[in-house]
Amino acid sequence: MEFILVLISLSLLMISYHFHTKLCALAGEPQIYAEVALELHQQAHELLMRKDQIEASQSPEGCDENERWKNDLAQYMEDYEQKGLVRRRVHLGR
Amino acid sequence: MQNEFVTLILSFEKNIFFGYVLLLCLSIVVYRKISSVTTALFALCCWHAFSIAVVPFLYKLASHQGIIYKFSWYGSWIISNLFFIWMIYQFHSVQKFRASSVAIAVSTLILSLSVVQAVDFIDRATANSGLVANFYQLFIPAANIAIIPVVIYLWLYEYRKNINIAATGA
Repeated sequence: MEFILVLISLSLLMISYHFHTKLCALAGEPQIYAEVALELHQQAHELLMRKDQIEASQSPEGCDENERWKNDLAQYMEDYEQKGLVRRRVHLGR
Repeated sequence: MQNEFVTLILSFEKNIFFGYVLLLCLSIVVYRKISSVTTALFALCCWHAFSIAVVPFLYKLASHQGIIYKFSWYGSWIISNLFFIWMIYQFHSVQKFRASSVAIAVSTLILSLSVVQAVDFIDRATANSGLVANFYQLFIPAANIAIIPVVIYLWLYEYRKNINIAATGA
């Protein structure tokens, strides 16, 4: 009788520990997300720069609106990259 | 000395529920939405209210002789603790919150109380030495009181960290 009751209490304890570890797993941004996000930022930046160079070589006269749009986009990418860097520093500690 | 200390702690613990409710109200005012801290403090309030409501009934049940009545006291605490740990986890997983350190602290508190209940029950069921009984009587009110400064500290720490992130633009 005592053995069964001890067994029941210990198994309940293990179930509650299981939920506790699951809760702990929800804490913190998963490292892989941060890494992937940073990788994506870098790739997007490279692609944009390449497109910029190609367009500049093809049409030397250019369009003002297009130029401004590119400036805005570059600014946006810069901000995005800075955010990624800060997030990496905060969540990954490097 | 020991008895005075115990009675002091127990008198504190009678009013600890207001502290929990105050923390919950504060978190609702600060966040103005359901967040990880709010759900954790809500679960803490529910857990304490449940334990207050159930204590007289369990006292009556546990005053009978026999191991099965003793188990009804310890087992119902362990089951209710399990339920509230599950509740915190379920809130987080359904709402897709990142678990804050406050939620983890509350969950750890409930888990540790569960462990103490189980250890005391095993002592009662096997050796009946009463070695853990003193610890049991002291640890539960002390942990209930200690969670309040711990929650406040962790909350402020995370709050400051988030403000720093916002200031640097992330």
